Amino acid sequence: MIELKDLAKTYRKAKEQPVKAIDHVSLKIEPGELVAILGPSGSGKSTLMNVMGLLDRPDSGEYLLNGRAVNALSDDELAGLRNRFIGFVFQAYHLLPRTTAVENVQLPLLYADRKDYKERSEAALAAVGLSDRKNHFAEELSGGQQQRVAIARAIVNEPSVLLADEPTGNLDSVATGEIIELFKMQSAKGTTVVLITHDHEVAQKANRIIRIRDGAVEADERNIQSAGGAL
Amino acid sequence: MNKPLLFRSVFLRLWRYKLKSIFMGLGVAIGVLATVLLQSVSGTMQAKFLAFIEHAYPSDSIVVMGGSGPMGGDTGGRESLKLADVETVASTTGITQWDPQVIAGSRDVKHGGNNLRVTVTGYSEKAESVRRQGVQDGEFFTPEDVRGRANVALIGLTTAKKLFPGESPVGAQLFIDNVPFQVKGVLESLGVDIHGNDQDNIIEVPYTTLMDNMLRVNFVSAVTFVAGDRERVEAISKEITKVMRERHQIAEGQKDDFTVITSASMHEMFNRSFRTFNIFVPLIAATAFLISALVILSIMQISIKGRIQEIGLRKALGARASDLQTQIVLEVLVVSVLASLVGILLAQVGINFLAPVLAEKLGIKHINTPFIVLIVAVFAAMATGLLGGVLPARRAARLKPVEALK
Repeated sequence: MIELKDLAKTYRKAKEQPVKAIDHVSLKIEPGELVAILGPSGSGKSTLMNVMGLLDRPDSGEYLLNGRAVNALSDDELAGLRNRFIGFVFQAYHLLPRTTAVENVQLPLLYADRKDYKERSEAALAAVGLSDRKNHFAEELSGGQQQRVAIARAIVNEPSVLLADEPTGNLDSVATGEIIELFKMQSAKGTTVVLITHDHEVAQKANRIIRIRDGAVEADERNIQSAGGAL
Repeated sequence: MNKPLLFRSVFLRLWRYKLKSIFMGLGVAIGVLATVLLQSVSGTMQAKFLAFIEHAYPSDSIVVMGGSGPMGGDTGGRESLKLADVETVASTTGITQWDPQVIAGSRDVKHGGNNLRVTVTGYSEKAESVRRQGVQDGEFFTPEDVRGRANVALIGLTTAKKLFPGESPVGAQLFIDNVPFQVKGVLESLGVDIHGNDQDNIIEVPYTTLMDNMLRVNFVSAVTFVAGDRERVEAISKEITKVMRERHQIAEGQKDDFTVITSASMHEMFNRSFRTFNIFVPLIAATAFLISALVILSIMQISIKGRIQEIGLRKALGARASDLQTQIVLEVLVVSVLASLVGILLAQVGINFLAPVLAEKLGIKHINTPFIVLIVAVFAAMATGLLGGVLPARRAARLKPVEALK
């Protein structure tokens, strides 16, 4: 569960107008929701994702992750929370080259100290349908497959929040459909899924669409079109 | 951190980026190779020198030489040591175990049709106990041989083999500068000396025979006194100097025309001549390791520049700054230790190639690499890795994930 209360962040550059990347945003996203954050480039949606993903700190306001205030936590504590509760999916996949699919999926487990890392990573690969590709190097896989490996990596620690930044931006429509299906499955299992996109078609697959403009929430609506949604 | 996974990923990474790993470890491997090789050969040579000193200058003995230069540095006054000097010294100090040495140098030696240049030296019957070299065949001089200026000879193993191929030399006759001598015995082998000279191509004859019948000189080259007690060597050598200066009427402030050598003074000379060496070997090694550390540092800096995305990703996935630092330092340490092992292996291979050459030139049969040298080499390699790796690792760990993932 994610709760943002009056969150703000401004970027200041010398000799330039300060940019309000997040302009007093308040939001509440429940477990199991599949939310699309929709906005044009420069609207501040990436900054919002970075703050929600504990990669960046807001200037003011409060952020509660699973009911816990995170503002005052140290960098190391934030790293621990990211590892335990947040899964990231990036537009450029960010798989390590010269590293096999299963090894890529195991990356978060390196920082989690779990004995069952082999079983977990293989289960995560199976969940995205890539068991047969586990020993392939990242660069040997197609774009869609790479993004599925990235999703397996994001879910391997069973996070409560999945944050995806333009996850289908580099993919064709078939692969995009597969990726969206995987996100739907995760949200059905109770994971909070946040898709950040500027693609209306992708956003339509979510059961809630939050429109961002100039760092502020422009609209926040339930999506009736998304058939079989959780709400 | 998950330790099995950490080690697995470190080794896999180094394996998959072989070229980078090899470049990173190259300096360390060469540094270790050079250090171990240099230290092993120099250590073995020093041990060989020491063994020679132990043999030629036993710790309970004092050697007095004619002339003021030690080890033939100054040839002035070579003829200054008379038998009367020796006898006076012996009676004042109460030493009964002494053996003079008269050097005749290289001489023509003949037996049958065989000719040979052999180093001929004169000793007394006491040489056997004073110099600890007996005969392996036949018998040593008797006091009568020495007193009677007998034409008898003891010959070295090489001389025996060359002059008497296939026959027993004991009892046979040979000619030294056309003077006939009877062979009494064959000396125990001494092998090759530190300069690579064969110490078994020698002939020993009674010093009296040499002095009075052949060279017609009234001096001896040197004499070895056995003090018997190690503790007394220093005091006796001072007494010898005093007696000798009195006998030779050397005024105060003037240089001795003789040289007193003890085991201690030889060791001191040995240490002096190897001091430079023993300072420079570690210094060269340290320089090599320092350069290796710089190589590692620069390769790591470049490598980390190329890994900024990976570092950002790892941070996003939950790596703390210390986790990243641990991983990068571990990579460097593994490379350094593996490289040092490769260096040690190459050093052993090098020693195997060097061994026959050194055995031939210097008579060094076995080159020992002390275990401590290997341990120090591995630790120096690890220190090198840390020196070169920690800085880039810290820099990497400080990267902000948002910046790194852009």
